[in-house]
Amino acid sequence: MAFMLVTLVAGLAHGAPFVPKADSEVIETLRERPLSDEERAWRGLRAQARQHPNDAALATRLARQAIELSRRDGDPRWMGQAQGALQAWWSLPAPPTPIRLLRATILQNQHDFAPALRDLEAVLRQDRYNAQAWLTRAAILQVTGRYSEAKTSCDALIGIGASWHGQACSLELSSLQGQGTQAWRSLQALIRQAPPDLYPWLNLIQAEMAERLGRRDEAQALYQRLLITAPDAYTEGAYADFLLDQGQAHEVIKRLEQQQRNDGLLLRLALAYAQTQDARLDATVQALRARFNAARERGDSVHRREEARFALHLLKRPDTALQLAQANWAVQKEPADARILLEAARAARQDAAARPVRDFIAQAGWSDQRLKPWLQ
Amino acid sequence: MKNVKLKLLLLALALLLLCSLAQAHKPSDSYLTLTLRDAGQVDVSWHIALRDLDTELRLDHDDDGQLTWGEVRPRWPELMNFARPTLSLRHEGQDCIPLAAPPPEPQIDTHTDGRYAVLRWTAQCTMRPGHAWQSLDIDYRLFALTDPTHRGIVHWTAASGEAGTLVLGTPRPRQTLAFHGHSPPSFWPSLWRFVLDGVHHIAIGTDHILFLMSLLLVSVWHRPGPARWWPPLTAWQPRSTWGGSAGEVLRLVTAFTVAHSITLGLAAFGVLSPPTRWVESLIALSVLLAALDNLLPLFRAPRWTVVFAFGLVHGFGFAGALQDLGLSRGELAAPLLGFNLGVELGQLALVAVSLPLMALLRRTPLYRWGFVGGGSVLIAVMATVWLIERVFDTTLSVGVPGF
Repeated sequence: MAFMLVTLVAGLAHGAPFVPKADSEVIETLRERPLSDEERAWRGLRAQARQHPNDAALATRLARQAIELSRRDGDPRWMGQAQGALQAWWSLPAPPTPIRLLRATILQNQHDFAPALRDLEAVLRQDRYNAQAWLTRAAILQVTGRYSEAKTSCDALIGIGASWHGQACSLELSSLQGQGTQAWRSLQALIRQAPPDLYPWLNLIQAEMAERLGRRDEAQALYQRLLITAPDAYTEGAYADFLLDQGQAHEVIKRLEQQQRNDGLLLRLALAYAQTQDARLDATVQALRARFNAARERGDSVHRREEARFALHLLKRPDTALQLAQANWAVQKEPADARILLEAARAARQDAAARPVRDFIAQAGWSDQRLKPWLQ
Repeated sequence: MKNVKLKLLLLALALLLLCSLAQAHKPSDSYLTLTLRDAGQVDVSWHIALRDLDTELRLDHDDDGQLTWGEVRPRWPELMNFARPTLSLRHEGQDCIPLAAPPPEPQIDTHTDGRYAVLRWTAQCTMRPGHAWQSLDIDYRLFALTDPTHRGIVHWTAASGEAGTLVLGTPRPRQTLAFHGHSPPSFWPSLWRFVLDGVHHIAIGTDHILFLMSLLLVSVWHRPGPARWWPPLTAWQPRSTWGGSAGEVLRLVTAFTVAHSITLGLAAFGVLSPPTRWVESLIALSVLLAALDNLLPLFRAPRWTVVFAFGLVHGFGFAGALQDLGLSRGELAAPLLGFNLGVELGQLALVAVSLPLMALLRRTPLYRWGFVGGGSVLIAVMATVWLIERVFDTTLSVGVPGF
């Protein structure tokens, strides 16, 4: 009987290509706004680079601008374009230093942390005054939980004269190592003297710290200011997580309804729909499921943290979530990575699975109000 | 001066680090379907993101960010000329040549990250008369110059029924479709994999197991005459023969199987997709009602009809698990059949282990008060906890359905 049904229904499966009805029909929204001058200039630069495929300076500019556009839009297609710009040098064992630095940035973005670190260290052997390389190295080491090595990078930044960056970098590390309140105060003092062009970065560090310390009002004010002065997808996602924790799902829906192209933000929107019993939840869950499946089909694994949250909170599959969270924890170790593993382990009633995280937290000295409920 | 420059440089980078750790969406992909026909012809259907084609060919003529059909349709020959040379197919050492047929109508399709252009043509490969497909070499260079992270996801099927999937791109632009003869080798191994997934799902699906156990516990009994409410369990009489028990089990398992097959199929093909929270809550409710019905007669209708109704709900639950395995439309036959078979094997295993024991014990007071009485109470308690958990999660204000 089951077999008959299967063959019967299998005949109905098909894709659904269609022919749009009228020339005036909008078939795709590429952007919510017209092409920017930046993007137009970038296209001009790319045309120029194609004429001179071996011009390293041109390729470097092209790649750097694509990386910046990727940051603003949160769109990995720009990262692909950046890598494309560096194609002539991409597979060389030792490309010129500026190109190697960009290669490290792109590799890091793909979560290929080990080769990224190798490139950065090679760059620093050539040029130990390269502040970007030190800062990128610090960030990777921090994300992967290697705090003492990260500290040497922060110190090096101070040593070569990039002292704002070096100090902020050090304070962020010490706030992760049991000195939250003190680091918070020092960062406040640092910001009062820092040049204004660093505010967006410093405020984001500050907002994260405020959340760890449970200073919710301050965190909220910082996020709100950042989203007016320097909006980007990362900050939007961090603020949405904050609001979800505070039970302010309606605010999340208001902010994210128009940003559904971004998978990370769509996840937060779905979580907000779940909190408010919104009728749009199921369609959103289906869309997310399709997107995770599409990513898996191409062989991607950079979304494990998000996918684990999806599996746990929206699909209610703690075992799947736990596996994803464990695979993610093997690669990166930020508080959000710890949290999803702790939550999944508890939901799956597998306390032993949480042990490595608990040990790491105890050893590092994290103190994070958001993790408290899961550590008791 | 130097210091200022350094700072500006660093600012961009500092922010970049933060964002880069939160990858937002999928990079660029295309979806290429190759259908290999008998006389050496290959039907190509290639879905390429309009967003990617715009980056390359500037389709958005007025740069307003909105791509209209009027901007894309006139450029179709250009899209074909751009894409077609980036894909080469070779068979028996010779290039396959696109047939000079009138081009099919331009079409658009929707994928998870936006709209795609659907490019179609047929290529003729060399094939000696009477010979079959040997191996088809694919060389894929779409966007290779501009985006090395782009991937081409290839789904192919041959006339023999063989089928498969490949991922092509800059790291591995050339791959070969190898054929193994007449049997479709990809169907049976994948069928087996889904059978195992189905068994696994039953093995870890405590709610399904407890639902079945509630039914099985009293399948060795029957309720003759008008149902009495009180005292509990007294309406039940042990069946006189083993055959009667086996018949009842057969009726129940068949009803359950037919019902969940229907909804599993409907959900797998996207015909129906009821909200997960209601499905999960109703599954919990079905366990609770099955257990309560053992203690006090709730249903007047024959048991198999009730089981059929609940089987429909469980089918949607199975569909959720099946979808999580990550399937594409058009390749659902093996997963659906395999998963369903696995679920049934899991159920039969449960029946095979429990039924003889229950049939032996069915006349004893221990069975009546311990197994059926105690067991049903325990199951009812667990089901109530699930029900509250699942309903509470989203529908606190509505109250518990069915109470």
